[in-house]
Amino acid sequence: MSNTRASVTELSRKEVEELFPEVPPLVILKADVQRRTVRYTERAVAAVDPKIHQVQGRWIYTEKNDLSPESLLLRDGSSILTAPLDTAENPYIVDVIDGRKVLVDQGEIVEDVDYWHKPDFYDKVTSSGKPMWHIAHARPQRIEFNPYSNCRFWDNGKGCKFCSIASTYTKGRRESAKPLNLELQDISETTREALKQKGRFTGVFITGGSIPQGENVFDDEVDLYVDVLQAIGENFRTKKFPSQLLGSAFSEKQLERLYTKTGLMSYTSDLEVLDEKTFNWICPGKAEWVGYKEWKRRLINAVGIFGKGFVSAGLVGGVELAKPHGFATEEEALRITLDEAESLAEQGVSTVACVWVPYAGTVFHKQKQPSLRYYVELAKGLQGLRKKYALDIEMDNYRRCGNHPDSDLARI
Amino acid sequence: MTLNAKLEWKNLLAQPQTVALLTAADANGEPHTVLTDSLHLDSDGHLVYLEYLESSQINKNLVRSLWFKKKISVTLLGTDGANIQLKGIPSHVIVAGPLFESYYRSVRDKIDDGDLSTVWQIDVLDVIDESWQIRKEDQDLNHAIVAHLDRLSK
Repeated sequence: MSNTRASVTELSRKEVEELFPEVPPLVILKADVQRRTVRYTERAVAAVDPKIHQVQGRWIYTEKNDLSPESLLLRDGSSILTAPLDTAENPYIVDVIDGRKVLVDQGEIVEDVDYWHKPDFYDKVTSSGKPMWHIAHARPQRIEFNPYSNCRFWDNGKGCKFCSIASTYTKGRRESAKPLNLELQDISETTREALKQKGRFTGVFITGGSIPQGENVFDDEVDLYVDVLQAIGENFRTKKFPSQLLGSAFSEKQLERLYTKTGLMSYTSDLEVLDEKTFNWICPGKAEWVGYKEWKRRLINAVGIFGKGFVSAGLVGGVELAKPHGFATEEEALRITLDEAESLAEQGVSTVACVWVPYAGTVFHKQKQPSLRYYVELAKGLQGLRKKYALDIEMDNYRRCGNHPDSDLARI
Repeated sequence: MTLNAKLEWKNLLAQPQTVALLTAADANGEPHTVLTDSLHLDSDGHLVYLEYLESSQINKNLVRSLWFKKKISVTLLGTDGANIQLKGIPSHVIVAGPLFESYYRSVRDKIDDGDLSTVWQIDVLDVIDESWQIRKEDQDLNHAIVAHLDRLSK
């Protein structure tokens, strides 16, 4: 069985390109590579130079320390965030042919790719003796901090069913003594070191697992992020710096505090699926502590604090079709998702989707993804809403994130 | 293209006094032209354009050109009347990595509080000599029937 919902009627990538000539083939390819994942040949791995390329990575969803590339760059400058998946039966092959690093599909060279370059700070150590790659994770143009590596929704087993945060943390703690929290001094020092590399980074990204504890729900999580953002902010001469916090759904009071006490410029809180019934099934912790309608209301309220174009909701695109309680058809899933996304967009909240991959360590690891056509229509629909409601997505675009085919489309 | 233009456009581009214009169209086919000081050949012979501003219209139009293989044009004007047009397609965007950072540092050295959005590599597909004398000779030779009669009168 393939990890995708392949069937005799599913369109090939080329057929999808023909069906949507207004969608760039490189964006379609990116979505398909994310969906089907990759396998590196021995030649591709041999082409990695660990002194130059990024092979290590400690972040909230994975920990990686082998010699394969962390991820890929396309020739339009966008990233493909992908990693080999043991259960994938039809992955793209990354190979080196005639000296070119290429993506190969069914024996045919599809595109040139490049590997991510390692940031300079990865080889440095904090004054407390920790490798800086344990403190921050890098994408080609963003530096990311995960100040809390677990998710308290799992305390009573109600974490999101697609999410690998808890299993990644448990594995990391067991195998490499991964700590639950980061020290503020380490965060500040790592930021300072990263900023020495001129031209490398365009954004700071902060995220962690949910912490619903505190006097009010999520007060503890907000306290942590205020401290972390202030530690990062010590290194900037401006009060505000290009930054995105992906956190839980905070109250207006909590958001005001984040905005006024720190240099944070944008805020994302993931609804994950845009349908209350499916949300309750897939995200029982979010449903228990906040609820779908309130989560949505809080996102909309955040626009009054951060401004239009500086608030977004993230989706795990395709998980709404998980079995047995997800939508029965792609048509229904697309219609309801885009209707809900429009209700957010008309109130200033942008919606971005990543491509769901049922990785190991998640409840849904045996599930099947929807078709490529679905992902293309979802990307097109979400970007269409941004155009309709004049919403910028610079806060979460191809440079600052790179994980959303829909926000790639905002480049033109 | 004339043999001279094919041979000379790289020299013309290298002259500091040469004026360079870059044009690319948006999704509606509406052209957008910018005057630029950043077009140059790199050490591998690629035509390179440095776009300083991420939010610029030309940057958006160049993305579209790369994505959909739409041609862009470059006009080079020399102080001696040389006028060469290049047509090409952007082939690579470089926004990260050692090459980008090298260009970034050079832009920061050159422009007060400058920034660099994108290093564009452009494949040159056509070279056209648009110099007045060349165009006129071509018209007189190949399109003589379109001349105003008074130009030919006794």
